[in-house]
Amino acid sequence: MSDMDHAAAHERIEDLSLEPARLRSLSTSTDAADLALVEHLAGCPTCRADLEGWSRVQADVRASLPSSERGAFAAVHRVEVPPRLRADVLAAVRAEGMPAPATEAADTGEMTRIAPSSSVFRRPAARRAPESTRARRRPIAREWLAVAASLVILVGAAAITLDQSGKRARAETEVAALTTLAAAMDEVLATDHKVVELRTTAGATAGSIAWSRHDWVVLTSALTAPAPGQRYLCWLEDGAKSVAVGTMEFSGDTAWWVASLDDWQTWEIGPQTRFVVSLEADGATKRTGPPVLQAALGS
Amino acid sequence: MIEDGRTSEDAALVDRIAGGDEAAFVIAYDRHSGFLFGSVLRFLGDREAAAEVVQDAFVTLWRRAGQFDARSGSLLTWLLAIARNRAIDRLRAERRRPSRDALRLDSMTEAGADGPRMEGPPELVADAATDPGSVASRRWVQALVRTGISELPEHERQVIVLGYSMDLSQAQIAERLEWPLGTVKSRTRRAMAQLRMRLGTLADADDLLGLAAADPDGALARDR
Repeated sequence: MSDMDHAAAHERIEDLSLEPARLRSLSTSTDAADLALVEHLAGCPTCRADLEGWSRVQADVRASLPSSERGAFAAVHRVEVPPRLRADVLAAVRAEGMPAPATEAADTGEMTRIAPSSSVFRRPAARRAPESTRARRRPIAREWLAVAASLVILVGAAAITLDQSGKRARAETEVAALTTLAAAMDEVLATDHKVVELRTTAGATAGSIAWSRHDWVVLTSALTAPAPGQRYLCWLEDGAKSVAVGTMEFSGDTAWWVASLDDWQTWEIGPQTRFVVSLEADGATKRTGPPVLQAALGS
Repeated sequence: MIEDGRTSEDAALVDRIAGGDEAAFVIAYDRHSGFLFGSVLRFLGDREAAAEVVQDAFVTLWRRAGQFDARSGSLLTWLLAIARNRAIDRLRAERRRPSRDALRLDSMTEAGADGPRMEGPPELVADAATDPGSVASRRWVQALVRTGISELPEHERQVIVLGYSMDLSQAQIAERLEWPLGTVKSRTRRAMAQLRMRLGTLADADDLLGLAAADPDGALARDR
């Protein structure tokens, strides 16, 4: 290590960080203080990391600003949020009703909690099925979309007829849920998406899974509502990795699950990735039941 | 800057939001909408579209607050991730048309009365040698950096622009602005410290490095 101590090195680095050109030319500088700093850096990983941090910020700031003065000032002009946006957002949120509860994966270390990715920019690109594949698979999705749409109509009718028996609120909840389902399916089909068949363990077709960059829609008529204390959990699995992603909802004879999984987690679907539905006890923190339904997502 | 000091406070807010606490949601909105909107606007170049994306991100926060995990990142980082994906999808949807020859990364022009004016939405259409995904990533990081600079006090913004856009030395900036050299240095030091803290919490190092490595001379920003 050089004669320059830690504090002096940090002070020198801070000075250099004031001017991009000085930091960039550090390695070729003949200035005595720079030479002492270079010597100190060779034996001090902490100071090297500090220097790298400043270099990175400098490079990013430099890469982000136009070279014309007017252009640069315009680029960093403070932007005001439209005043009406706050009211719009609040109105939209009130229309949503109460937030969804946390997933069952929330409080356990055994299952991966659905969480935002810290690698914001490293998310793999959405898989786009080949045109021929998508053309072949779309009829499946359309069929299930039709199911969803018809359920909306049926349950809408139920909302009216059940009104007198005091069950309107429940019916309206189902209408809202199924409207969401139909809208989600519509959104998936309108963007790059993939559809695979959901199958029973015996291999029989039991429904479909459609997903795009953001949205997942799972539909099946092969399940019946679970007994109290149990529920059908959805899992993404790849080798030893198992992630609980949600719970199947039931409306009439249709079980479904809709989510914007992509917002919460980076999951690269590989050739062995599969979607599994299993019957679990309330509060289950890992999959213990055998697959009831499954789909090979990488197929 | 608000990021570090408010991370734990944000986590508590999100817990309240998950319980349906609208007041907590409003606090979160007031706290982060500015950075979010500024970043998305710079990315999309369209105020209306940016407002829709920001609204979408906050509605997602409301819907999914129960699934937020503060251990995996800050609330703002999470909101930005949602907004970025929505914004990219939006551009893709709007740009599905025959490929173009030119790659245009930025279209920002002079500031208008109500902030930066855009001369049209940015292109994510790349030439054959450029991956549209990486173009989008670079542009997004660029938007974050610019928004970070825009949050600085005006005096600090000035020294950053002159130092990094015009490549002026501290002495030259002092002469140009007729400020004492010590004042220029202290303002630059504060500004850089703020930017380092802010950017360090918003994107992981490799991504920011990716921007710098892909464009060491700032050509992406300058070739316009």
